[in-house]
Amino acid sequence: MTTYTDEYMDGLRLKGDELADATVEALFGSGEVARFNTLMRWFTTSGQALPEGLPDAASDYLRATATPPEWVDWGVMEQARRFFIDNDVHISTALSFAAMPACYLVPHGAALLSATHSLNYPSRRMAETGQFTVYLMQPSAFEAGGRFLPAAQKVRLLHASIRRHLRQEGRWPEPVPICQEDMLGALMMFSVQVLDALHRLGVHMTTDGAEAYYYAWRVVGTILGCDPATIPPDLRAAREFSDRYMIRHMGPSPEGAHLTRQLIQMYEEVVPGTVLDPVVPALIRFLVGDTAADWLEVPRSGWDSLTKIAPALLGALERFEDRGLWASQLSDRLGRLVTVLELSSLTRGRVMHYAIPEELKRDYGVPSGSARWTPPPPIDPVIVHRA
Amino acid sequence: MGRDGDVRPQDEVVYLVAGLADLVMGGMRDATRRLPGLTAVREELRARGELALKRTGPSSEAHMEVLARRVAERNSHG
Repeated sequence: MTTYTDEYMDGLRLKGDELADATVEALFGSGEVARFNTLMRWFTTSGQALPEGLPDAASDYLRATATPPEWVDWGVMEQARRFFIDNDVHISTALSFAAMPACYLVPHGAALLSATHSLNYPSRRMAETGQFTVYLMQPSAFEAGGRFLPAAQKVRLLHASIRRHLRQEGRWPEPVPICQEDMLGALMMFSVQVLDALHRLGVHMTTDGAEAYYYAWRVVGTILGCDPATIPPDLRAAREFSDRYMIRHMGPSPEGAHLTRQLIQMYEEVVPGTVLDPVVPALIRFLVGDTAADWLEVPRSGWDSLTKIAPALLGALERFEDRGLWASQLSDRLGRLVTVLELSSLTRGRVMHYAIPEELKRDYGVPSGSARWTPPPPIDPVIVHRA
Repeated sequence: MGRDGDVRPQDEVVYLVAGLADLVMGGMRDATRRLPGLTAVREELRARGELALKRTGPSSEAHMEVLARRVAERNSHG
């Protein structure tokens, strides 16, 4: 059985996100992007009145996307939330060290991420993804006062604007940047591939839990502008789409290796001390395997064999949790603390705003034809000493 | 090591802590060798570690490894 043929996937490469693309086009056409971004900084929660003075195209879009899809089964979403809470540390680990490297394994994806990466603040993308996931898993994510939907509405426009910039500047070799196939591919990385990583880490999952987690990402995909008719309906279909997508596109690239190096460095900065530094590359290697890790130029270290005990340690922790309520509460709290610390060290306490970039160069540090200004190097240490 | 099933979960935590201590005291290995109590603990911990790895260690490879090898093979043929 092959549902996802090459012809089918090729068709998805020609589609963007009509609604968001049209909205962004209208905003740029009337020169209202800056005003929109300013007004939208105060628009952060569902049910909040739209800011006065919003351009028409923007308010139409915000109204059309203000509610989650009608077909959402809220019982399954609640199951997904519990699955996320039970496994928060493991899921964060899988997102950082399996899903992000998987994005870098797709050369054209790596090229896009590296073209839109903030050079001043490389961890920004991780912070944005992290905060997005935390918003998603709040009990009130989709209710009035929830922060998830407004964040998703902004992310969808952000994607549309990057699509527009790259297309306009003729910097994308294909007809559509961030096409439907790539959006679905990314959705697979954050869903079924995260479950692969949890499995590899020895995390015990129930079928219902895993399916609910996938269901939540189907909802997220729809909200972020994937065509719901094309999102694989269950984990079996997701497996097929995910594998087909990776086999079609995965491979080594200089951008992929560069982004991986940045990811590793970022975690080395976040984790205090240097003793644990080699753990991150070892963990990535363990989760994505040697062939892919070599493509990404993940350094080898003596920790590589040691990482193999991670499943044993996690297994012991799970059996400790099974000991009773106090043990599981203690370990839950530790988990929550780790997730919060991990995220707040990335966001540095900031709320991410997902503004529409007016131009890629200024907002995302994309190098243009002219040379980039860099701060002068520090003055000569000898002179400092004499002074 | 047939008594593995009888070990209570909190003992497991004790062993893990002991394992950490063993790592920390790596530099004092000679000194600890002379203490029969600690040597016994270390041997027990090592044996338990082996068992735990056999019990929970991943039997297969990373999923991505299988896909990557397939791609590498395809590229080498084409």
